[in-house]
Amino acid sequence: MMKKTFCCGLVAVSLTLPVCQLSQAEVMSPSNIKISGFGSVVGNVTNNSDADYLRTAKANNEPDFVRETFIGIQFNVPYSDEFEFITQFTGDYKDDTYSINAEWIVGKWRVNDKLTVRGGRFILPLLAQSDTVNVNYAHPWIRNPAEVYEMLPISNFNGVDLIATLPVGDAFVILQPFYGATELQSPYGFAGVVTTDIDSLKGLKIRYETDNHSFNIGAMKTAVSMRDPGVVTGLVGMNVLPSAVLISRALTNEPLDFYSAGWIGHFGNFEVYSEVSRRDLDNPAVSAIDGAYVTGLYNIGKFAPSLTLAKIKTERGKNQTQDTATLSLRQSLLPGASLKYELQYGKLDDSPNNRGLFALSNPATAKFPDDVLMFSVGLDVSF
Amino acid sequence: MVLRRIIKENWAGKSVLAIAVSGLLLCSVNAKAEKIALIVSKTSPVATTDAKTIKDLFLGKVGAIKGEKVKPIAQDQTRPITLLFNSTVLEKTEDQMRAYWSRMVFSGQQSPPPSLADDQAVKLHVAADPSAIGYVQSSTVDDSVKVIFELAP
Repeated sequence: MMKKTFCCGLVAVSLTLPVCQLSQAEVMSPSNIKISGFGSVVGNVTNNSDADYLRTAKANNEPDFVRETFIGIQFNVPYSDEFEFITQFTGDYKDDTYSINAEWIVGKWRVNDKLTVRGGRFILPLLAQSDTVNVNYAHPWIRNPAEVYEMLPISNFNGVDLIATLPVGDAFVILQPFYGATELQSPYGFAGVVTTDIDSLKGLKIRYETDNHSFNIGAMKTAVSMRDPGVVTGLVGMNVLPSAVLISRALTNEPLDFYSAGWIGHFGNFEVYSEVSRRDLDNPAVSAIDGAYVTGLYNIGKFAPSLTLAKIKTERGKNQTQDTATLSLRQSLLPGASLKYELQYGKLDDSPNNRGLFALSNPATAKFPDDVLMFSVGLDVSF
Repeated sequence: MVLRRIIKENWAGKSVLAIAVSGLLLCSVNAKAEKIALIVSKTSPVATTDAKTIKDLFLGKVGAIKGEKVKPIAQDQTRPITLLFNSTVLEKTEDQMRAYWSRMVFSGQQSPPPSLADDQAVKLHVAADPSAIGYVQSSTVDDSVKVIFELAP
């Protein structure tokens, strides 16, 4: 025990030595701290009153400008050319609660021109737009396509990653392995909060970038366990809760796999964004989900109309099979500010018990609609 | 006088005059888009570079020229030379640059190069820092700095 403590202390001291060698003036001068931020005001409304549409939007037939509105702020504190400390927080109002979320708390070490090591709390860097999933200004859509981006329940994790940038001719290959763990707190009706532990999270993202194209593939493996809050067992035994809640008692170190592949292409004024993904939890009661989207966008001065076609398909468990078509228009207002308009049509598959991307707004209502029309408007800023 | 009468009476003459004036205006506009010079300190070990390296450097993808570490210095985003540099060398519009650096900054990867006010400020900074590289109008280059690349938009 003492030997282990001594070794850990030695490692910790050696990592801090480069910082300690800097003079007081070099370490954290207020003038070196860079503050930047982003935010969105988003409104949504659907033509349906039976169920909420999309997990994060929770859109229904009452116009709402609060649920998807948020602000983010980031602090970059460079200690030297090699070391930097980054924190990023977002603030929002969801489920009648104001909350501040720590998205990034990261120490970054730029080892050399080709290698960077980071440790701390990250956004999971698995998908093409993962790193900036909260920065709507950087994307062509009001919200990233839910068919891919809402299928991964994890957004942040605590761990380490490594970014290796290798020049290959005129292109770059970027390798990004990552490792860590996290936990999710999810409300479950009146049973309280269910905690999901996600351990031994390991993954790899590989990007191939040229001047006009970016190809990426990502893979992640982890183990999922849901902690029974205790009251669930009693309520299940009394037949008060549906049997689906038994999932919480059945998940102990269940393997969860997630795979993705994507392409972003620029052809003059024309841009293409596309991704496919697969989420698979090794449990017969939980859906295996395949998702995909393709977006075509054309830049005309300050305007950028686009069309997105997306699909989601499940193999077992809850049926969420759905096709969507989204017509969007992005208008650049000022450098750092844009206005977006979106009209989305979603058509559910005819197969039985298909809920598509809906959640029941009223648990007593058992009927999901066959289709949905949603209108959204969003103002995005970056400063 | 004679010319005025000819133009008044002859619609073809008016057309020729309009075309001539347009041509002169066009020439004057083109003359304003002068060459952009990439400059380093006189003591910098960097002697030459190419357009691809400059693009990768100012987009934060590389941090060296032929093994020599360099720090890019930009100019204010609203200056015409910056808009020209971004569209010609980096091949991005103002909005695309904003979106690009938003992605880089908020993913913790890179920060944009520092911006200075004008050509004179860039020259002073570059002359004093052997690791700095900046861009100025070719006509403002003097003996305090060294040109390693020049491009005509």
